[in-house]
Amino acid sequence: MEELSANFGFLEALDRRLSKLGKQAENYVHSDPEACLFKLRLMVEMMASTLARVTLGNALPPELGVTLGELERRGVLPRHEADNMHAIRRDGNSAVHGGIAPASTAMRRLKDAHSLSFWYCQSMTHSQGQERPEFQVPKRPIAEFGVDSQVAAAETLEDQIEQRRRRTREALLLFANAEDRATITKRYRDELDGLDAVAATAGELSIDAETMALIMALELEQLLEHPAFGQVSRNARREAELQLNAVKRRLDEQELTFREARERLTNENF
Amino acid sequence: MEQDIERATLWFLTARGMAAASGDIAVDSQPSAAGLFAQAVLGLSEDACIEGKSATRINRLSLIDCLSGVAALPPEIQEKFLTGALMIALLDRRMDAAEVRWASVLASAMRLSTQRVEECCLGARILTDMLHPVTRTS
Repeated sequence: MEELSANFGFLEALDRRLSKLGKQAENYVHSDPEACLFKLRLMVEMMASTLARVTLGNALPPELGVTLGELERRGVLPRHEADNMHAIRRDGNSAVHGGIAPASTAMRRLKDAHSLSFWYCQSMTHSQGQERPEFQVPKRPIAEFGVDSQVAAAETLEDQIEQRRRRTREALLLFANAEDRATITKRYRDELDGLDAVAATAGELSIDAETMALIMALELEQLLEHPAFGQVSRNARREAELQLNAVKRRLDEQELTFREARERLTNENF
Repeated sequence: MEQDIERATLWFLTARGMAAASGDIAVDSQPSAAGLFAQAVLGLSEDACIEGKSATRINRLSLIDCLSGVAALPPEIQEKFLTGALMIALLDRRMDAAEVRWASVLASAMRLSTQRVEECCLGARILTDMLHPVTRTS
C-alpha cells in the first residue's frame, strides 16, 4: 500500500486525486520546483472546479483566474484562501511556461497549498473546530552514499575547482610534488660543478663569471636599497661589495686550483 | 604546441639549474616564480608548462643539453631566458659563485654581449622587486 503524504494525507478520504497531487508536489519540491508548482496548480484547479460546480452549477468559467474571482465575489472563497490560490496559479503558470522557479518559492507555495487543503477539506465536509496539522517540511531526497543531492552537486563542483587549482599550482611550481627534489637537485649540482671546472679551465666564450658577478652585484645593491627591505645606500653597497668579493675569492680559488693542477701535470710529464 | 612544450622543458631546466646553484633558497621564498615567469613573460600555457616539466621530458636532459638548447633559441627568447634565470638568482637578494657561473655559462652559450646581459640583469631586478620575496635573514 502506498504511503500517505505527510502534509496531504488527510485529503485521501475526501479526494484521492488531490492527495496524490499533493504528495507528488512534496516529492518534487527540492529536485524539480517547476514540476512541484505545476502539480500544485492542478490541485488548485481541481479544488476551484469542485467548488464552482457545487456553488455555481454547470456554468464554469473557462479561466481559472476568472473562476477564483467569481468564487471570491460570491463569498465561497475567503480572501486569504483566494490569495493563496491566485499565488499558486500565477507561479504554476510561470513554471509551465518555462519560468525558473527556485525551490524556496515552491516550498512557500507547498505550505500555502497545505493550509488551503485543510480549509478545503473543512469546507467540503462542513466540519469546523479541528486543529490544522502542522506543515512538515519535506526532507531532501537522499542520494547515493547517503549524501544530499544538492550537497553532492556542490561537492562535485568544489572538487572540480580544487582540481583546477591543483593544476594551476602544478603548472607554476619548479618541481612537481611527486618528484624527488633532493636527488634531482643533487644531480644538477654535480653537473654545475663539472661546468664550473670546465669554464674555469677553458674560459667562457662571450662573458666571464667575474664580469657577470660585477653586473649582478650592481643590481643587488639596488635591490638591497629597496624601501621594502630598508637598507640605507651605504649598507646596501657594502653588502653588495661583500658578496661580490666572496664570489671573486671563490673564482680565484678555482683559478688557483686549476693552475696548481696544470703545474702538477707539467712536472709529472716533463 | 610541441614547440611550446619543448620551450617549457628548456625553461624549467634553466630555472632548475639556477635553483640548484642557489641552494634552493630563492625557490623556497617564491616557489611559483619560475612558473609565473613561464606563463607571464614567455607566454607558455599551463598545459605546456605541465607537460614540459613532466619527468619523461625534463629528466632525460642534462644541463649541457640545456646549454645547447638555449644556444639555438631566437635572440629575444634567449634574453628572456637569461632574465628569468637571473631573477631566480636574485630572489633571495644574495649572489653565490655557483649562480654567477650558471648565469655566465648561459650568457656565453647564448653569445650575448655585455650590454645585453646588463639589460637582462636590470629586467631581472625589476621582476624580483615585483615578486617581493623574503630575504634569507628574515
